[in-house]
Amino acid sequence: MKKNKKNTIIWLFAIMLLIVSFSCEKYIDMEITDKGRKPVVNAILIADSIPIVKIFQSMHILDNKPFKKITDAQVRLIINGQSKMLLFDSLTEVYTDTNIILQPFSEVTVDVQTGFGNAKGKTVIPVNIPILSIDTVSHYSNEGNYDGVEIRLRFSDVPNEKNYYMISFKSSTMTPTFEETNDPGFDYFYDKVLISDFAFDGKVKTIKLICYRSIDYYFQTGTIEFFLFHLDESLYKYQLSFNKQQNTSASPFSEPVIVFNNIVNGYGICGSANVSKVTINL
Amino acid sequence: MYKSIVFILIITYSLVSFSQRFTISGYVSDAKSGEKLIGASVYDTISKRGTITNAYGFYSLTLNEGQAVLIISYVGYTPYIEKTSIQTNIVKNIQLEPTIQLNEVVVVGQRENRQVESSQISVTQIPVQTIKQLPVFFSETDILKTIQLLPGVQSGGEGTSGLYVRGGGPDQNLILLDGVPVYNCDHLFGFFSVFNADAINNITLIKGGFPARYGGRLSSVLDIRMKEGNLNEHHGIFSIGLISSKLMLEGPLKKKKSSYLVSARRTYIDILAQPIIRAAANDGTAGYYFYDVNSKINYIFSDTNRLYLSFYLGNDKAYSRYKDSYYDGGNRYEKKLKAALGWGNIISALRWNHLFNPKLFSNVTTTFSRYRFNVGIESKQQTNNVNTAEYSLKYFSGIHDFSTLIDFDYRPNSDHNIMFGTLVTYHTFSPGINVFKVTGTNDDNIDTTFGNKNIYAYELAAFIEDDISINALFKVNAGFRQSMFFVRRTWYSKLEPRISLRYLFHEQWSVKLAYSQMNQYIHLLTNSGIGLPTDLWLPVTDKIKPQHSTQYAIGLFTSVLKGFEASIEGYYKTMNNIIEYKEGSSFFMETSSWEDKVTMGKGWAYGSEFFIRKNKGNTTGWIGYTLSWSWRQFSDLNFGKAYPYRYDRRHDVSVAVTHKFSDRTDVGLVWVYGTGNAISLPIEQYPAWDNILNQHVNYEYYPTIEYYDGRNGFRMPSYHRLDLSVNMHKKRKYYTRTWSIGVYNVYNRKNPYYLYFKHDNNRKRLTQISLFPLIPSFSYTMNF
Repeated sequence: MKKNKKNTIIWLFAIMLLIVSFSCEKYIDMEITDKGRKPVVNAILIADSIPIVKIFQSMHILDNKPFKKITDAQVRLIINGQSKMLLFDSLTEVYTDTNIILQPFSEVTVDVQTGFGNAKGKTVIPVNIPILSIDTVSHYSNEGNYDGVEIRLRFSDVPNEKNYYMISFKSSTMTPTFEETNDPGFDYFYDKVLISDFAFDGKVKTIKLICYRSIDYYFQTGTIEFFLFHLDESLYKYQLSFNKQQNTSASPFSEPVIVFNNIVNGYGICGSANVSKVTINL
Repeated sequence: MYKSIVFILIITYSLVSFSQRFTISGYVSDAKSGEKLIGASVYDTISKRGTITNAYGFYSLTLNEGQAVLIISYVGYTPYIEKTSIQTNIVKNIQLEPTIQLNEVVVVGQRENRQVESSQISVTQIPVQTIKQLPVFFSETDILKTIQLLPGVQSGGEGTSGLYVRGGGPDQNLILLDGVPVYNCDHLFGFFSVFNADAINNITLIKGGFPARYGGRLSSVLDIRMKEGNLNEHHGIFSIGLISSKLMLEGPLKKKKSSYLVSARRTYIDILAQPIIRAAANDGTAGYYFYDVNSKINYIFSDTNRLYLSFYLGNDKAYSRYKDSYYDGGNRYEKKLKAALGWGNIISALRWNHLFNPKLFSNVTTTFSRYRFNVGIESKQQTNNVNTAEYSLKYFSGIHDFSTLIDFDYRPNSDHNIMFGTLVTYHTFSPGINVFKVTGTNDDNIDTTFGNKNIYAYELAAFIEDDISINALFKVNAGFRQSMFFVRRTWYSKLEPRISLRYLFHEQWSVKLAYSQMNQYIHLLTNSGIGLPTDLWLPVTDKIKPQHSTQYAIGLFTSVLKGFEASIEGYYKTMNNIIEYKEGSSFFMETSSWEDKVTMGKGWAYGSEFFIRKNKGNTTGWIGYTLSWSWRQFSDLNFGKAYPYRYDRRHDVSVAVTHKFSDRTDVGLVWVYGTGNAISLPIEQYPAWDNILNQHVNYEYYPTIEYYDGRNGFRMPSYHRLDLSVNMHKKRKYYTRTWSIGVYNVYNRKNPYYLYFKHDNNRKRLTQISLFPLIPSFSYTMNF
């Protein structure tokens, strides 16, 4: 009898919680200002690579169609004061020049002219930070069974300066996951971690990932490519704020996150990175 | 010229000194409980002179020698009338009998014509009993939610306790519990306030025309006084509700000399929900609770000396724990993970009342107030009960104050009530300290503390004000406050003039004007719409200047309708040096100091408020309506253009009514309507490029970035809601029991909480989320 009473109370409480948790949803009509379209310049310039720039047209917030790629823009690159035009490659639909290789420390300005407005942005290509080592250790599940590999990626931070990093990976057969910590200056996202070095200035840092053996690939071997990007400050802020906007766009608890934008008279990013790559076989 | 002035002063002083005038003084209290009555009227019908009791129930009335007929009255109590001959100074402590016995519905409040006669404007007192009779959210009586029903006061989000007074922010309210500032009034992320109505005696809200004795905030003063405890008998209240239970005990420690009051409350969501949580999380547990304790002791040493000690402790805690272990090769491996989030206040006040003579009353008060927020995560790995790796990250922030106030209440005659005093406060701000520790990994072990260091500051103030009856028609409350703040070798000093004028052009009609300047030396750094405990209190610095406001108010007051008092007020307020986060800044950009993340700007607000209230009879309550505008302008935000404040609310209506059908049954009704909050919505969208690894790939789909043009340019749909309650009382042999049944949001209005864009059948549409549908609640109370 007593047990029944206790169960009844628990059920009543659960029902009350359910009622409170229940959120109502409905569509509402609201007029949203239209201030016309602007050029979108997405220029992420990688050291020791050819320049690649994508140009789009922005859209009204209620439009629900694919973004319009701009194929007839005039895109000019000014590298350390020297101006060069980029041409549109219809195959990849980017503006590029295969004769240009971007060098660290270069100051690069991207100047874009379109039929609906002109825009520009600026960046300085950062120096390379190498991956010191990648070690692998067998990983055991909570039950003590072997179920994968722990991967430890190490790199050394440059002391006495602000540095920003992004670590990512690529594999066709395996999907490692970051072992998330609450280290300050570390922001983890699905397939990358963004890092600001203020809490470990000048030290060696180790990032851990776990690569689980999935049933599908249990008997296969494969490769994973690890990338350490040394980012310029603009690209770090863009990546961080963009990913935060994606994560918090539905949060009622905060003001909307405004994505970092360094394009004058337009939207997008003009940022740069220097990448180190190490491939391992598992 | 100088000699003439001295001569006139000497003559005046001689006339005052040698005229045969005597002072009658004492305390007015409840005959049953001995509880002091704040704001009771003491009036001589022969000389037509009167006064009111102060916050400690003390009065002092100076009259000419001869006969006097004194009427001492307080709504809800039988008036006390005494004919007396005044030949010398008289001390007379008066006890008023309640017109209706305790444990039943007692209607207490102000004298009928008080609003019209008083020199103060924009002041409202709310009887605690009314608060207890009105419908409540989740069966929890909430003082701040009742205050939100007054004109000029707005709530933040649905169900929250934040106060936005006359266009000001939530940090601009001086909330005092027994004279001690309370920095965070929220339990459960703002859904409940920290004040337990069972322990409260009196509540006064001031929105404009601030007397000089109050300062340190721009927009309002909420002065909450705790009960002192019954001097004659032991009593208690026990209440059990949907999410919490409460117990209040009071009584004499030494009859008529000393009393105590203890009140405690705790939620039990965590206990009731534990079986569900355990079922959902195999090896872990989680929960949330809050509790608070109020206590007060008072000791009457003599007619001239009293001592009060009051204390408040309240904490909120959310936690989760996880433990896992396994055996391998004869070794036992264990992993423990703990995470916790907590915040709370500690407040204490030691007050000594001393009566120097029948005309001069004084207080010496020393107070302590601490608000602290902490969040932490800790993990440990053990092999055979020996730590092999340990990780912890803790974050603390908060503020604590030590303060001493000396104030005097001097009533030289019935035309003057002079108050003066001085205050010194030592603030310690902890704007966010991180403690980070890692041991037992392959990296270098780390044990570091970083963040913003503690900031120490002194705040000083001196004030003087006089409530002057110039003649039967004009009354003035004039004064000034000199405030000072010293922090990091930076010194700020401001003079704050205050004046209120009343013109009684008819026995039941008056018009009032007020002008006040206020300064605020502390800022609340917040980037959210609701009161999160992560909000930081920070001082002014050499870069961040003090907030300053100037407010003008005008009002027409009447009590022409019998049993009703009504008013219409207009105000205009400017606010300078208010702060906001810069665009794109947030807590996650930890690399820069907080001073670099914020920007200073200005705000202005104006509007009018209509208020009609009935305090007597079986039906009591009020109707309030506010028409208002509130703007902000920052050079670094919104391209320097002015924008509406998030809580700019054009129309705000509230109806709060209680009706007593009989001694056994009373009902309450609340209806609110408000224009929707101002919000930021994106107007444009563009493709992101976040995949650096595949730059050559020609994607068909790109993730979208939303672009915001202008802050708070859109309005949510309007908010309205009806709440009902019924209280059923029954006398038992040893106690009176009350069943309270209430319904929140009776007609199940889908009020907007937030808006977002949703894709629906190839259409992108704006969608509204609502939080609380119809919610029934109940509680059971024993009053013994």
